[in-house]
Amino acid sequence: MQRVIQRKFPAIFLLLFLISSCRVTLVPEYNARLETQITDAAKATDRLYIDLLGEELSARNYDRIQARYNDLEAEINSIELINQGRVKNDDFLAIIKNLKDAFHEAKEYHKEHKTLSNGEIKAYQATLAGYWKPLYVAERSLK
Amino acid sequence: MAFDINEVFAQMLQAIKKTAKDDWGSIKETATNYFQDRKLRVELLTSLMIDKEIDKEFFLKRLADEKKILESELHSVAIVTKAMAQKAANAAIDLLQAAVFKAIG
Repeated sequence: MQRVIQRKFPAIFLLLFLISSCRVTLVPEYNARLETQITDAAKATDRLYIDLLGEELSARNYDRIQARYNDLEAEINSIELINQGRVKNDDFLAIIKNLKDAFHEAKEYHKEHKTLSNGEIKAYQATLAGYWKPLYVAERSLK
Repeated sequence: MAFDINEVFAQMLQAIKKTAKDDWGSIKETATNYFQDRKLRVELLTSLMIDKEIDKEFFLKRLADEKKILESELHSVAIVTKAMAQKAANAAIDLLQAAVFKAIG
């Protein structure tokens, strides 16, 4: 057996090389910091609407919380940028684009209408949570 | 005609199940979770409109969002499925590699 192995050494070496360099890559590598960034930004989005709901209608003015919208928009852009640098990122980028468009629409709606009703706040809170969840689930599945 | 939301969601779940075929087992939990979330969201939006807390135009825009959320969920399910396939394939390669190393001592 040992002699067979010695004779076939170049072939075995080549096989080993091929096997060790042959890793299947279908999805990006798991990123713990990105998972934290996603959960923090999703939580901040939820908190934005919880806080708005706790305010009087007159205190829900867009100008008062514009900075929080901008911070969240920057976080989503940062998550998108990190994902743009990953391999096999098509599905992730599609999820992030939907989230980004939805958040922008929510921000613009508030800006245009100056304030939000209780119903609009509850609807946006639920809808945006729906956009965040697939991103979170996808990142966690890479673990 | 009566609209049974539970029946509709059950039918949608079955349609996804039929399409997913072999991958259904691995994505069942994720997909079921998403459908449960959707059911709760649509019930909330419907009750907000019935109680006149949101107008019809706003309600329809949120329903349009549901289509986009479903699209995101399907991308997410695709990632979950691919991640599982990747883990399985690499585990098989690791086994092969270990077997080859063992054979050559």
